Amino acid sequence: MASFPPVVIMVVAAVLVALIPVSIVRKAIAVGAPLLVLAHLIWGLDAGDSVTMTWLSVELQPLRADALSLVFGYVFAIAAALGGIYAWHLNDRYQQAAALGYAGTSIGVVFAGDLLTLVLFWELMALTSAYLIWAGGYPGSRRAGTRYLFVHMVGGSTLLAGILWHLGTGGSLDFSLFEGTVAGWLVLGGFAINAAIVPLHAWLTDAYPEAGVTGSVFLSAFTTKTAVYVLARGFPGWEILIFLGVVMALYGVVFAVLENDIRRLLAYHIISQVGYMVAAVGIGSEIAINGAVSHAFAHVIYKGLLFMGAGAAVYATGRRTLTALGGISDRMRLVVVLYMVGAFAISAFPLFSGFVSKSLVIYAAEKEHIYWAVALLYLASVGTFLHTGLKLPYFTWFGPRRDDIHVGPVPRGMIVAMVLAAALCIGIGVYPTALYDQLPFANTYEPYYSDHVVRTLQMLGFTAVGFWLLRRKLGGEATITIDTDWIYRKAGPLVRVLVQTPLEAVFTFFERFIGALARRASALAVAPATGWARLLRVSAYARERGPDEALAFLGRPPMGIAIVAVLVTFAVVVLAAQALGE
Amino acid sequence: MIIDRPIVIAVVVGVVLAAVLEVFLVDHREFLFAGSDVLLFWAGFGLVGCIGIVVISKWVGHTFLMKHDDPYTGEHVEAEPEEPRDG
Amino acid sequence: MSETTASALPLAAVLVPVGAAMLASLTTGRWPNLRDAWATLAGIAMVAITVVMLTDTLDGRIHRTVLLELSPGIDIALRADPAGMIFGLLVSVLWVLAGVYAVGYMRGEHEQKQTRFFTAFALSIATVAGVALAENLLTFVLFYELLSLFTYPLVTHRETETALVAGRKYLAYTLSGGLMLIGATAWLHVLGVDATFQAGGFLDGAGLDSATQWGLFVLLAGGVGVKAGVMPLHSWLPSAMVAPTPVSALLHAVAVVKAGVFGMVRVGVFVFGAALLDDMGAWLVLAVMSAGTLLIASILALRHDNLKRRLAYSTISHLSYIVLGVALIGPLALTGALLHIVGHGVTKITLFFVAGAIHVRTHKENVSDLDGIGRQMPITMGSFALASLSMVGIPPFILFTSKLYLGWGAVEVGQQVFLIVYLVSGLLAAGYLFPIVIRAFLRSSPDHTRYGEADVRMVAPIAVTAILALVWGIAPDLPLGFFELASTVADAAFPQSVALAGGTP
Repeated sequence: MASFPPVVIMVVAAVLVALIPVSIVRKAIAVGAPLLVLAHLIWGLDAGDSVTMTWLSVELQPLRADALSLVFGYVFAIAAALGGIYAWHLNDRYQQAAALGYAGTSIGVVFAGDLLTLVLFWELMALTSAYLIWAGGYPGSRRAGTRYLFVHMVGGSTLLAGILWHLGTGGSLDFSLFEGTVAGWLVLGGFAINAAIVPLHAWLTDAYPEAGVTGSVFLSAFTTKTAVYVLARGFPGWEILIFLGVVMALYGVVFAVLENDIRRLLAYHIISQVGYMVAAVGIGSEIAINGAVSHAFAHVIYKGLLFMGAGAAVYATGRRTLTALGGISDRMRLVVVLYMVGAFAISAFPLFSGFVSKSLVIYAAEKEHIYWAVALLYLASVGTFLHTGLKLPYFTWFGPRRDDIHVGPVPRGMIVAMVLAAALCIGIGVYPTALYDQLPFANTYEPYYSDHVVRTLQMLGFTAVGFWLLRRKLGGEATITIDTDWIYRKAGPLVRVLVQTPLEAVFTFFERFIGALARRASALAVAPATGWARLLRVSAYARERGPDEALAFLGRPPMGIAIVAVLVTFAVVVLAAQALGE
Repeated sequence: MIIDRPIVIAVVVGVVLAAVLEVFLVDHREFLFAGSDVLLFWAGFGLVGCIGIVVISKWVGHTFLMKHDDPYTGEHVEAEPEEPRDG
Repeated sequence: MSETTASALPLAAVLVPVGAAMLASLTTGRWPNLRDAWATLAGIAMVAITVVMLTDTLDGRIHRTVLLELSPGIDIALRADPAGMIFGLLVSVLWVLAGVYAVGYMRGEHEQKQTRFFTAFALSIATVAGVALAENLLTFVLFYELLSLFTYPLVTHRETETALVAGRKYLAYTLSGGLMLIGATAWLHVLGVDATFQAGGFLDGAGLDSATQWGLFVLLAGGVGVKAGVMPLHSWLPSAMVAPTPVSALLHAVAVVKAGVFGMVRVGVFVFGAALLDDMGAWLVLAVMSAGTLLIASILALRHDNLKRRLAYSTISHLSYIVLGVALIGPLALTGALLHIVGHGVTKITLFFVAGAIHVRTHKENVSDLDGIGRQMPITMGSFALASLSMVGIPPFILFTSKLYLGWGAVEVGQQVFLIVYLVSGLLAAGYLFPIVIRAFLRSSPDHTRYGEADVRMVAPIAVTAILALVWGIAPDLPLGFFELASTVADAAFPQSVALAGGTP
């Protein structure tokens, strides 16, 4: 069978899901389609496969499979399937369709060989994911989704500006390395928004917690990781990314300290974790790219698991914040255990997936002697364990039993998805070769050596000690934290007023002025046309109101003559001109 | 900061365990930057880093960033907001 | 090179709507079904005629009809050249749909004097066909003037005070523009220039002095600029929204205003030509004015709560996309401008159709009243959503495709600033259109009235145009060869850069 872009499967599935009225069939498709994509990627595609086509005056490449795109394809297909299982209880066909479309277009981005195909899926990704936020059903969901969409529209436009600039100044449509031209920086800007690079990150933490519990599982997987993919493809070795990545890693940690909403806390840690990947792309060596890719792979799974666990708590209790939760661990033990697997993974405990991937990133920094980055990335690891591994579970589930919180049942699909994700987290941690073999470059790194393991255990163990010392200080506070979205949420309306009001005033003035002129001029202009209108009405008058009315109507000043006059004038001018011309 | 007997015991046991692990298990210490190969450096890094992150973040948050009234709607932020369950 | 064959088909394309107008006024309101059928039948006939000409046009055989030979070299003549065919095809296809829609609308609204309406409507279409197929400036001006006159009774159709005032304003603007064109035509004849449209411009090499060139440019660009809504000549358009919605949809989103921008294509490419516009520096004047218009109109659109007025400002903005595309004098930008004529036509007509359908069903015309309307009229508002995506320039809709070429064309000629203008305007479009869709689908309806979809004669054209906006975005050549026509025009207008326009990047 000829190779075809895997996105096709997902788009067909999304359309089917939107149309099919039978709930169980929809659910089966939502899980089955990603698995089919996975099978297609494993057995149907090989590195080097490509599909090209001519569209209008350009050559497009909707499929380009190589090691880099395939590994992202695998993990996206897995994440979509897990998300489908997690959302098994959900009976909302449009949300299911949007989730499939979102996962599918992310896969489309990853296999896009040219920049226009990339833009196509990039924009569709923004739309489908915005729907997941709108469908959240919280009081803030609609506005958060709209803000999210607008930020991504700006990102998409920046990207398109960069691409067209690149194209119009002699660049090729082929998606490969970018240079430090204006076009390159614009494209980087477009990518940076999706990668949630600080200070362009606020859309993420603003919107993700406003999606439904299933929606946020999907959201945590795709947008930022497609951005990591395109950065790895187009901008490896851009040193500014090292700096930005480290800033992200720490920024997310700091804001996670302040956050009360549990899924927003996790969202800040997406920024932090993506910071590792961005920094790795900035380092740009083969090991670093391997690190970025493997960390993205591991991250998709464990972050999904964390969102699943937090989502299960939100689903079962209807509560979202640390201050509103606590003391319910005995009523959802399994969820807590599975969540903790994800927490150990993100904290890079030995034998969990984060350990084998994050180490690769830090090792790459070591190899390039960027020790400030090494130290700060380790510091971010401390913060990560502190929040996702200790603070969040402690205040969400543990503490004195609270009987005022009603804990409803957790759907079986949620548990199944979490078990599978947890199995993957441990599997990768125990047998890293399985992941390392998929990486774009041959890997020689071995994460399990005594110094590394002991160093990690010491560091994380004493983080726990620090948490225990400070636990009274760390409880959630019922506050809203200001982030960079403040700029467009508060100052945006102000700018609107400042720009629009004067414009409007100018035009109103202009309108009055022109209006006065027009009234005078119209005495000339209107006459013929009104006459023409009347002429058209004569027959109707004669029929509807009798011949007398029609005669009276005709008896009024014969406007029709005026129009003839215009035409005659026109003819005379033409003929006179002709005569003069000869 | 809560300093009670369990935490003191935990710290003592932790320090001993960490030192034992490091001395007997680690065959070769990597040198990353000044001090990174000192005994129990990473344990100290974890503890100090943890406390530092919390103290600095909380200070920044309380001073500048955290608002008890929602800056966008003006409503007071409730500790236990009533929110509709997601379907 | 193309060859010209004498043929009656261009004339037939103009006469078919005239025939429909006559039949409609003869049939009168006594047989309303028959009367209203004429428009659709004539529309189908017109599509057939244009499609027959299309195959020949694409093969390089141009159909030509001489109506009247005033003197040797001065004819009233029609010719199916590629540029004209784009406009002619678009108008005839959309007329079929608007014809069906108008029946549903006029009856749903219980409008008065429907016979006059349908007659004037058909006559307007005839003149638009004339504008599209005019071979020379004289013929163009003739039909262009008639178009203003025939659309006047449509603007004033409701005969209310507002309608009459708007109609007066409409005529004052468009006839003044027309007078400028008449003046320019007369001037050219005095100068003894053969005013037959030529790719590359008939003024190029005519040996006129600079002052004359500028004088002609001001008269011609100003004359077509009125209907093209270039600020500050735009304000008739929002006022004209008082007309019944089919008029706003077909005439004031497609036919009349596109006659203006199409005139701009004629003036820019076929009268002056790229080389002359470049030498004069006139392109910059046009580019700055249209860039200003497209941004300012987008900003103003954000503020209007009345749906049709908001759409009118959006139209002003998008017309200037096209004018700017012409002003950029590059093959890619011209291709994009011509595609944008098609794309904006099919997209904006959808939006206006929806505005009308909502009005017929609910009598609501303000955006702020549309909460929850999407759940009650899902097909209608779903189509509105698709058309909004197209207006914003989301791939793979038609206005993405055209904007792609416009933006690329701006960079191609080294004017990156206009690329940014295009993209910023796209974001503003998201600002004035997406909230409508979001409101319609995500807010709940304040009243408990359960509205359903409008009459099928309205919903079907809405769905068809929305789907066309998507299909033509992916394949603009399907099946009417819009991209092929546009690139043919661009190749002819910029012979030195054929490889760039037609080749791969």
